[in-house]
Amino acid sequence: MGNIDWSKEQRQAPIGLLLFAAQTFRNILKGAWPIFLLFIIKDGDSRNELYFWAIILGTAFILINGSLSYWYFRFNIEGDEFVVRKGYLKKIKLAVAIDRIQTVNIKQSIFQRIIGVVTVEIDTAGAKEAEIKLIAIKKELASEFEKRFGRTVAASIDTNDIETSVSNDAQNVASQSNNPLIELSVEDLVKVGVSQNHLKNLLVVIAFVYSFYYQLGQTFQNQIEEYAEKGMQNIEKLEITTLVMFIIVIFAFAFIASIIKMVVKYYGLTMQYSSGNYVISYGLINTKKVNIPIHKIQLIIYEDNPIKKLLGFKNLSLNQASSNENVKKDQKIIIPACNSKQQEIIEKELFGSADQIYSPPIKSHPFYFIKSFLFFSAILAPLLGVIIYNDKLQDLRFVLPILIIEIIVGFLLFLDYKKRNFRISQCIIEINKGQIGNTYKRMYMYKVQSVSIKQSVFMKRRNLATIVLYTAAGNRITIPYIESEVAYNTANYILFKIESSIDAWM
Amino acid sequence: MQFENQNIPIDELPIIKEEDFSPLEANFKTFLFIRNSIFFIVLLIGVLLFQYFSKIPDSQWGFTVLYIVIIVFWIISMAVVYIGFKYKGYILRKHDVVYKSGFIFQQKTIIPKNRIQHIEIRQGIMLRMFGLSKLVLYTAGGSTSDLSISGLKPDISNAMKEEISRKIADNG
Repeated sequence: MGNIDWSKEQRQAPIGLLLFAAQTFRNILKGAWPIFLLFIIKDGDSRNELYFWAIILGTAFILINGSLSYWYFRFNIEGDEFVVRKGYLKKIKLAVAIDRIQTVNIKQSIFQRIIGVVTVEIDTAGAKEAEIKLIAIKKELASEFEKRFGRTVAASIDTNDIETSVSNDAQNVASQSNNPLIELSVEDLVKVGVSQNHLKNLLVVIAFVYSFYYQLGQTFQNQIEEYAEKGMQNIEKLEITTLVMFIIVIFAFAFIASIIKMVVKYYGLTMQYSSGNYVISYGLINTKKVNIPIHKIQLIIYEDNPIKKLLGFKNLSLNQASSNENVKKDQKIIIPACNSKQQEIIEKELFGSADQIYSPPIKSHPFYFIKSFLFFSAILAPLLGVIIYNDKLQDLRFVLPILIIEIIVGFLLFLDYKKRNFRISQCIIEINKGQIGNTYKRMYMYKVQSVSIKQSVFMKRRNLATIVLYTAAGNRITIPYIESEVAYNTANYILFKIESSIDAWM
Repeated sequence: MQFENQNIPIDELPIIKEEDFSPLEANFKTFLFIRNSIFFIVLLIGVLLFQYFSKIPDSQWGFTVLYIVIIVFWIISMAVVYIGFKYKGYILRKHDVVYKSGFIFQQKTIIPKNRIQHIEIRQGIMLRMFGLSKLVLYTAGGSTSDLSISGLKPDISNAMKEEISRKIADNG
């Protein structure tokens, strides 16, 4: 089948009708399994008859729907686009510009092997799943697909359920022995462990304990209730010192756990530059090697906190654009420690000369703080209401924590508002935020994928707006509550940057 | 990066003007009214059947409240469609597509044509009965950044698709 007339509408292999029917069957199962369950459970005289009709109707529906889905699924090339038309009730026409196609994957299940077809997946950047899935393509045609669209080659079809795809930015990298840009020793990793956000870890531990308790509760309902009653009595008797001790123990546990986690996860981390790529490898038990082509990096984020600042390093995360599934897992690579010298080298590599001229930082409006604080208080208010309403709970022990939480969160929100700002240079946008620590993001404006301007009526009255920038690394950058005019000017400038750009963003 | 040295004064950049927005097809409003009403009617029938078949004694009061809640939400949904409709609109500019929606929380989303990954034209049964279609623009920015404009005449969404495709091809 050397020459296929791509311009003519094509259908998939007729045998694929079976696959479409199977798909219908699967969808019915997925959607209507409770009904099936009911059928099985339900007992009675009418059961056999019910079965009979259900099977007849079900089979008829599956065959008809399968055939129609098969028949209405057509694909061809129109101009520079690969076009798929599908659906008979809900009609969908889907067009992908050929040069936007990132990968063509070929897969085959056991069943597909029996009937001699393969699945061809056509994937562009962005969406999590392949945009186009052709489930019944003859092998010969599949290789035509590769020839026509493939910047990529799928591997041979041999084993059961093979899922092979070799992308053009393959993961194999010649291991050049350049000087590593970043190299972390065990000592460094211990430092990193010390500087983690232990409060967060503590919450994770508490959540874990709680969910464990909850699950236990599900299994041993009665016993738990008994214990809980005792527990309640104990809590009433509980002295503050015991509680503090308990929290200290958990905290110590979280502290040690996070140090161990850091060392195991990032053991022997090295990051080196190798012909346009960053090669990062780490891990004690599972050694991981990741290759990030520099042009695929969309956004870099630095994070620090007071302890990290004291120890002189930041947390660096490289966020890359991805299409192929392998890369998706490594979309965000975190290097737990990076000092200012290393930061400078990386910045230079990514953004060229460091002497960018930036606009003065633009801050969010105080109303942003007021809004978030009111919002949080509105969540807390009912709780306080319950306590005040209930005589038994009218106790300082219950009211005080809520007041303390309110004050702490209020303070954090205030810091968040204080630290939030952004600035732009000719081609880079930089966003600063943070509460106790600082987070600092930088990206090329032309790499932004789309721009939103949000404005509630309340904000409109105060002439404020929020900008949201969507990146190809899956991150969303929000610039809240800035002056409308500034917001529109910034958005227009970013759009100008994107639309006038001829550089590849990935 | 030739343009790096150009000095572009901010106020010379093209701006999005309110008057440039094209409204959606007028019968799309009717479509929304009917679609939302079907949802609420089905819900009401469901509750009605539940009330009929369930043998909960003395639950009249609870059901009455439930009916009232559903009807209130129905009315709200109608009001949202009625008021919100004139806040929906789109502009097809030379380099991008702008879509606005929402009246309490207004949002304008701008998708540059050279960042569009693929395009879909959807026509569900109901939309087809109204002679309408839905244009969906996908970017690499994740599902939240994808833009779908419902309530366009099929020939308009097709023309928009062609126009956008041409732009994608130009940019390579």
